[in-house]
Amino acid sequence: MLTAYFGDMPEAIYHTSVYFRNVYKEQWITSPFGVEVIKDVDKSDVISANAINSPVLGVISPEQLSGGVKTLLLIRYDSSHIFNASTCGDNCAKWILQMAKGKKIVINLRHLMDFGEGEFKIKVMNTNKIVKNMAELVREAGEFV
Amino acid sequence: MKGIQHIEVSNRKVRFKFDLYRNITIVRGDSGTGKTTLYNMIADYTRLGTASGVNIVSQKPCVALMDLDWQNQLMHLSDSIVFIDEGSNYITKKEFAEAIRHTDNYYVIFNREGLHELPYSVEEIYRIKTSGKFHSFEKLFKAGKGHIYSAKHSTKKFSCEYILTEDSNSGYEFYCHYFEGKNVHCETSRSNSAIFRWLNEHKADRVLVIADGAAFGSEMDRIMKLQASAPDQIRVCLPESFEWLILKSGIISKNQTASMLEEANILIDSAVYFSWENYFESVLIHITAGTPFHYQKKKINAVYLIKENSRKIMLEMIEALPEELRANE
Repeated sequence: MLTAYFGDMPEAIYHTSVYFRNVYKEQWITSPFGVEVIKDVDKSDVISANAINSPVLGVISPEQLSGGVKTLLLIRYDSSHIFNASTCGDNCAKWILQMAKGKKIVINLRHLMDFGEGEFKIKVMNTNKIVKNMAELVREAGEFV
Repeated sequence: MKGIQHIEVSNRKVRFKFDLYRNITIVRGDSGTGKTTLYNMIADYTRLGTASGVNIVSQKPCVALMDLDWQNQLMHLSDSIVFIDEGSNYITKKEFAEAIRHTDNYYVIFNREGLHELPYSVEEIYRIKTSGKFHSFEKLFKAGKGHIYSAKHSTKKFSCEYILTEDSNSGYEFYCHYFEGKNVHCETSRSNSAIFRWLNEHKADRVLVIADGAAFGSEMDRIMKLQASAPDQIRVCLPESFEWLILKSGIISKNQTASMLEEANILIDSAVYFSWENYFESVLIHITAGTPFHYQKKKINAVYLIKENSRKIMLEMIEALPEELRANE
């Protein structure tokens, strides 16, 4: 299940792009998950661990991926830290929910990410309550952002 | 700095074109739209100038603010357009707001957080729109008739039991007087940031929120999401400010106010006015001083409560009012 702490969380990694630059592993990029999120969010194709073909920028390095993709990869492959997922746009929300299926994922959100119109399960760590849709999430977590 | 700033940033692969209208511009939106690319291009130009290969067209210097060194860097910046990356957590702090308050720079901030210390306008929140290699800014929130902002339109005829303002001084007094006897309660949350809590505590009630759009940007995301979850119960009306409504109403000589409103972009100096609401308040106090219309923030001058005058003040947002409240006019 997805657990989210809303608002300021000093122990969370805030500047995810810098952290990514210094810790990412090449296999994150070429993993099926990496290939899929890079295609979906950045509309880019993974050529190799160090080369990604962007329709706008041409061939780029992993360091030039969007902040959202970098944070998704960190959440997926580094479970020892909590990351600031407000570096992710709403187009990353479905990937966060997907990662949390059958696995405990903890993130820090400093805004109300839009998780869509469907049903989901998110534990708001600030209050320990579980919310099941956006209306409940906004009411439960809005006070903390 | 004053005026609209037109900016073009390009390299061989991408071109960004956008205009900045006020001292603080916020850019958010989906991942992968080019925010990081734009910031990195400005950062490259800051380090290396034209030798970076980045081309910038701007009347003013464009500079990227670099992380830990921000205070020192800011001290040496003047009359510049300052770009701030989303990983910069100092922008959420009071120290940052204080540091930029009296500077004559414009700021472009890439961030999805509310940033409650910064008084930015609901009109200056953008996402990046992309068409091939061309990128531009697109407003995230657009006003409808009567300065109504909605994330989701109501399917029912709107009616309300409460008018909620963030103002607890003149504006609040004015609205209380205007809506007296009209079967609606007038309440104040006393601050922008308390509006969300007030609405959350009044889940079952139908509420028209009236707040100053010029400084409501930090609340916009959560209030619009709350509105989307209860579109039949919450309506949000955001004129620039209460003082702007008075200036716009024509009660005070139009000769004096028209150009001040129409040319606000050109007249408002970011070093003097942190937010446009400060400018409209200052102008209103200044031009009414020594006249029967003398305005003060703390207590409303009774002249504005005279029915003919209050009607003119409300005219700008009459379409935000439920029909039953308009019908009483």
